[in-house]
Amino acid sequence: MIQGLHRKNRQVFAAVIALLSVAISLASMYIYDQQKQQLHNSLSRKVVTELDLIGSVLTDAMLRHDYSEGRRLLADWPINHPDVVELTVLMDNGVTFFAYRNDQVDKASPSLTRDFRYAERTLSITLCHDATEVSTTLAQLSRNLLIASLAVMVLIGAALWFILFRWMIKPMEQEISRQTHELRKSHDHLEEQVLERTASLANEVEIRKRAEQSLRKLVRVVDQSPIMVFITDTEGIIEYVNPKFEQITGYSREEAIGANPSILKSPDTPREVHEDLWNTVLAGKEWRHEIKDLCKDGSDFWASVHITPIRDKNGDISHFASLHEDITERKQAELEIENARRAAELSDKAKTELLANMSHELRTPLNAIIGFAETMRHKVFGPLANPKYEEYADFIHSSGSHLLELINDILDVSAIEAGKLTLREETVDVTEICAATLEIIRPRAHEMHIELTGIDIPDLPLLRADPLRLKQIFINLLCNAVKFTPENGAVSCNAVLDQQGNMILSVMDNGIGMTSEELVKALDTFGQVDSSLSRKHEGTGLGLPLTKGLVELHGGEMEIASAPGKGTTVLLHFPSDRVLEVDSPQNQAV
Amino acid sequence: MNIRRVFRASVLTLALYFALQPAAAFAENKPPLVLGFMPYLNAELLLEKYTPLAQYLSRKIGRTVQIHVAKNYAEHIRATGEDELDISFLGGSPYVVIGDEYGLKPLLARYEFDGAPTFGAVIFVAKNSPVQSLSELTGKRVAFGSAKSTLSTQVPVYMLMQAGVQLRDLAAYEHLRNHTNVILGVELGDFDAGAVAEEVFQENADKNIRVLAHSPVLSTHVFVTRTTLDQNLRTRIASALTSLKDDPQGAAVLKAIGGNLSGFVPVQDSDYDLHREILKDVLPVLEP
Repeated sequence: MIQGLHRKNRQVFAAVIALLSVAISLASMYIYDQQKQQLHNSLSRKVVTELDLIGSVLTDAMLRHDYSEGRRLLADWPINHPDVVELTVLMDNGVTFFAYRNDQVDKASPSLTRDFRYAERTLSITLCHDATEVSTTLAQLSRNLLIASLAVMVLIGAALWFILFRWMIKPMEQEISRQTHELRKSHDHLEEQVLERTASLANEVEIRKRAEQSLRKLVRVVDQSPIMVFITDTEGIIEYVNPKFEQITGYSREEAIGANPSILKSPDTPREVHEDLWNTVLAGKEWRHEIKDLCKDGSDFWASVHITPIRDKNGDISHFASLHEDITERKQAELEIENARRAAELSDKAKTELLANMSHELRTPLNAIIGFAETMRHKVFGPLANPKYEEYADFIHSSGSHLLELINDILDVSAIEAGKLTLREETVDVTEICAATLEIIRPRAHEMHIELTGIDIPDLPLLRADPLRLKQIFINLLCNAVKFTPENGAVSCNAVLDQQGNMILSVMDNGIGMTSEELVKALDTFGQVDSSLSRKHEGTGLGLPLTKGLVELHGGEMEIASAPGKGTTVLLHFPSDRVLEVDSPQNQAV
Repeated sequence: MNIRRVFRASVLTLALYFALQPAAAFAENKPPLVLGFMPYLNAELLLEKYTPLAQYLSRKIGRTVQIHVAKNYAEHIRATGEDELDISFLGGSPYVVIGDEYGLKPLLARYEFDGAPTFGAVIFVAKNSPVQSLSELTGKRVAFGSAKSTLSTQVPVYMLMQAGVQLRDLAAYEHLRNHTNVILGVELGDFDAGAVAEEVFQENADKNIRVLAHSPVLSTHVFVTRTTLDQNLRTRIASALTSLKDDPQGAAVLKAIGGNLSGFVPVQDSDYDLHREILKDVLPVLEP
């Protein structure tokens, strides 16, 4: 746009200069003509004046008949006026009284002739002046005008250029450019605003659409809600009910709207509950309760009621929304669960009693069997008649012991699961317990040529634990290790303290090991791994679960790492609060 | 201001000054002699004509001679009559009038034209004028010279009177300031006839004029002295004048005066008797 303006400005400027040139040329011509006319007029006036002067003086002389004086005057005139080219005095009878002509002059003014009268005579004086000066002046004027015109054109052109382009056009262009820039900015800003407003409107439309969708959805939710919903005003008059209300209560929408919620009031619901309801909601608080609602047909149902005050824009309560969820089935289920729990409690009590009875009833005869078998093996009352009896006595003793062990384990597991097992905690030296256990296991390991290694850490802290149960743990783990370690294998025990102060006991063998599936199975109750080696050593299958239970009863954890063919490592983590220094006050107190 | 005239006057004055230097050398304490003229021509022209003569006389008589041109004829006559001029140029008529009024002035010499000491007046008309005789001038306009001029007024009036034409018979007549004006007045047509000295007419013979009548022969102009001038000096002046044409510089002096002047010759009072007769008839008419 600015370039177009520049081009247009140049065309306008050229047109102005052209017009100006024409105007100045015309003005110059006019001035030249005026000056020429003025000079000629001046010359003519001069000639006329001289003619008048000559005429007056000459006629005066002629009146006095002093012709010689008149002629002398005429003769002196060209001398005193060198610009006179012609001076002629002709009498009315054709006689030339005086004649003068200067033929050396190139340019002469037009001759002027005037008649003068004296007495009754007339004489004509013709005077012509030199116009060379006028011609020279006009030529000079012409040159000066040409130069002046060119100078004026250049000056005015420059001034116009300066004024037009520096003072007017350029500031105008700058202003237009600035305004255009501002306009463009405003336009851009407006477009941005329009876009923003359009986006805002679209967003608002979208929001409204979503709101409407949400509202419709909400309405549908409310309409299709499995929860009975109705809305009352602050006086408790029902204004809205959803279809579920009609379905559950049996009241139609028309019957319900305008009615009081008391139509749902069940006689089983205490009066205080309804008073609390109204006190709560009128105080602007939500009210939740499980009450019975009465249907139109007189039946009732349990409902989880949630009444919420609805506030207007000013925060004033305008309505109450009441949500009644039919929880009759849940109530029945809860009743059933309660009945089942009571049955379970009775069953558990019976089980505990059974276990107690079994512990007593089974151990008493079993101890008798084992005791008598022991007596027989040791031939307290003399040798047995037949060697077979000795063999049988050993078998009875072994089976009895195994059975007792099995019963004890089952009882222990049961006690643990039932939370009936109580630890008798005291300060124990893990090293000693481990060593004692190794001594029990050692004969069996010796038979298998298995190397046993105990805990050999002199500064190992003491542990607060049940020594019997800790020993039982070691026995279970070492027995399993020896049991599943082939001949010439090695079983070792160790104990360390980690950075948190926890004590970690470990029992490691290089036996047959287990897969991860076998490990899971080994941890199940009665879940002994099926292997040729295990079959050689019968077990209850309760060792590892019982050990894990005992460790956890101490607040610890049991961790097993095993790989088939490489052996098994069992780690026992006892919490740091059970770890005691040898000289700790607690230890001393114990 | 007429530059040419000023220049010419300056030249003449300087020439006169240097010409008189020798005379002044031997006449240191004597006042210059005044040579007076009536204005029968322009004063400038008179100076131009007679300055050589004044120089000649100064050299001859040993005293400075200055030229004086009177304002008019009456002034010149009065100055001459009252002996204010040492040497005075006079026409025949003024000489007679002055003699009658102031007493005769001593004569020095009279003009000689072409060897004759006489001249005359001419009444002339334009060439194309129908007038063929003086008597036909009745009812015509006639131009004369000064009223006291011998040749341009007194003699022509006498001629007209002799022809039976009185001044009152003329339609008009004017006394013009000089002879040139009379020539021009007729030539231009302001006058039907004019009267000038024959000498002047001859000088303007190329103009569109012709002679209508010649006057009787009259003794020429004359130089007189004041009555009180020293006799010796008077004689020396008269001698100088009459010997001019024999002087080596005489021709130049005579030529400067112009016309056909051939010299100055001795003069006596009876040479102007005709003038006395004319004046007797004319003066009552001209000066009633």
